[in-house]
Amino acid sequence: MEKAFGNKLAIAIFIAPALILFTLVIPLPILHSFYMSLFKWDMLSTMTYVGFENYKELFSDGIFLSSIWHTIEITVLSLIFQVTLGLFLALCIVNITKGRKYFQNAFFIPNILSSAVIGILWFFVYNYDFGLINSILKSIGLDSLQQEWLSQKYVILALSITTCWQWVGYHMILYIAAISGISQDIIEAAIVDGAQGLKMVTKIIIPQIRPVLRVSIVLIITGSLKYFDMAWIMTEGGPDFASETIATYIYRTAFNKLQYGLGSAASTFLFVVSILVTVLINRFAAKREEVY
Amino acid sequence: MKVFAKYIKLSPVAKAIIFAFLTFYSILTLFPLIWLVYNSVKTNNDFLANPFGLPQLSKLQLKNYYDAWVTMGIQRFTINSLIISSVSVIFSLIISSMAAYAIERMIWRSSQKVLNYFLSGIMVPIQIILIPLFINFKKLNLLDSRIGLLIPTVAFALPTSIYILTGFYKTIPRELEEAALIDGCSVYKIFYKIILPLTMPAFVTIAVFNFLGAWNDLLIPLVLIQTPELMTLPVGLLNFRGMYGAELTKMFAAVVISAIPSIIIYFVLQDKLLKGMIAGAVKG
Repeated sequence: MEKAFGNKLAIAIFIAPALILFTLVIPLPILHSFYMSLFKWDMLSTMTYVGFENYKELFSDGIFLSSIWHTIEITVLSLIFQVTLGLFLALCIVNITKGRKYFQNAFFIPNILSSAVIGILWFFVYNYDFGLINSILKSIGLDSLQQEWLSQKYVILALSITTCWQWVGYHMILYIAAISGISQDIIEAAIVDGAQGLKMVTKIIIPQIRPVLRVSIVLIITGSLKYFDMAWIMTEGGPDFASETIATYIYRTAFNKLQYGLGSAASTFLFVVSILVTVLINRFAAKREEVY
Repeated sequence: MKVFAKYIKLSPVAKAIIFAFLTFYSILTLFPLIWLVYNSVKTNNDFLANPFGLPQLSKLQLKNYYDAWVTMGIQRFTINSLIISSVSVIFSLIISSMAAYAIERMIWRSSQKVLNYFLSGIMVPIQIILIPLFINFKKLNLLDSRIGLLIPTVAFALPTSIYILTGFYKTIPRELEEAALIDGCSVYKIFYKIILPLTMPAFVTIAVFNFLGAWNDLLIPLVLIQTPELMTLPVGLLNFRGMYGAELTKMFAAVVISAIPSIIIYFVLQDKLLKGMIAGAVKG
């Protein structure tokens, strides 16, 4: 028994394909990326070692700094929109019996579409001349409210709304699963104690689903840190870099401008930030969860 | 899912308000998609003249779909996406089930460390590996090739798949393997003849989840594929927009076509897909 399942050769054969493929595609390139960030290189000329020059250049580049700011804005707006709306929708849905399936599907459907489909669709929804929003405003006589939605002023908000449309159903599903998993005894005891309405939500439901809330917050933050698809499809980071995110900056620097060293420095920065944020939230939230 | 509503009593008025809000919000959510569909059968001029109005039944432009599918190449992108998504699913199932079996059922000291090593990949933003991947693939002549696209697609599917499978293998009773061992089966045969057939339900979940992941992915093919002949649907759609950007209603038809497979998969395999998503998320 021990002998058969401890067979070293068999273990190696089973684990090797995954281990090799994973190591070659994820951990090694991360190290390679850091190594590359110490060089200037455009793939045509020879690589020159420049130490931490690329990082200096990065943090004196106004576009990069504003891309960090845009990424933070998108993260904050996404957290506000998706957590509150997702929780609100979940609370509504668990309180009804008829039509549950329909509502769940309706809110979840956008999440299964590709970002190319969503990005192109919402590009047209926001369009000034023939977009859905402006044509609705026009048809109900509110012409004065028509806007250039993907303009410098509104673009971050517009992108965050589209992202909310795409993801809110997903978080709602997580919350519904968590709320449905709260033990009946706890709910009944709370009802006996007179917990109702808002009190029930804040005192019983939210503390009970805290672990799932943490997961969904981590997912929204890490998702926003690598925000790329919508910004690239709808505006290519524009107009005039108004929606440039860290991820679109990396893509533009490496694949449009062929500055691989600078791009690698930006990716290394993104990697470190993602790890830090994930670790910090999990530490912080885990402590809070112990208290409850 | 338990029915929460059973033990929370709401007044009929409160219920009606909730219901009205949900109905309103569901229309708000679905309307952009409905708008897309009904505009995809208008002529370009009709759309520009009245983007909000319904199409006239006498002037339905089903030709938009024919043009997008045949003349403008959506067909080719769809086939490419099908190939990449299904082949990557097959490979990710084989590779991850082998690894998960070794981690969960075989006896060796570092198994948990190896599992954690794989799981750490779940949080890695894909942007970080794109530049080295692009450069190395260029050297290895893997740019603009199906194999080059498959390698990272499969690799990124591994962490979640291995996570779900190790959880699944925990639930299989040891006796099954012991009995087979006494009958003289080797570990390989046990895995192939006994474990794999039992894994089918978990395979469906992972397959749906990874298929949609590969089908919807934009960034990897955007970086690795440049020739239109090999483009997958998301990259192809962006390319299509660049080439036929002025023919908006045909563009809409192309977008509708590329949304249809995801929607079909969702409605056919909904429970499996949601299970995979919840399981994948709860790891965190």
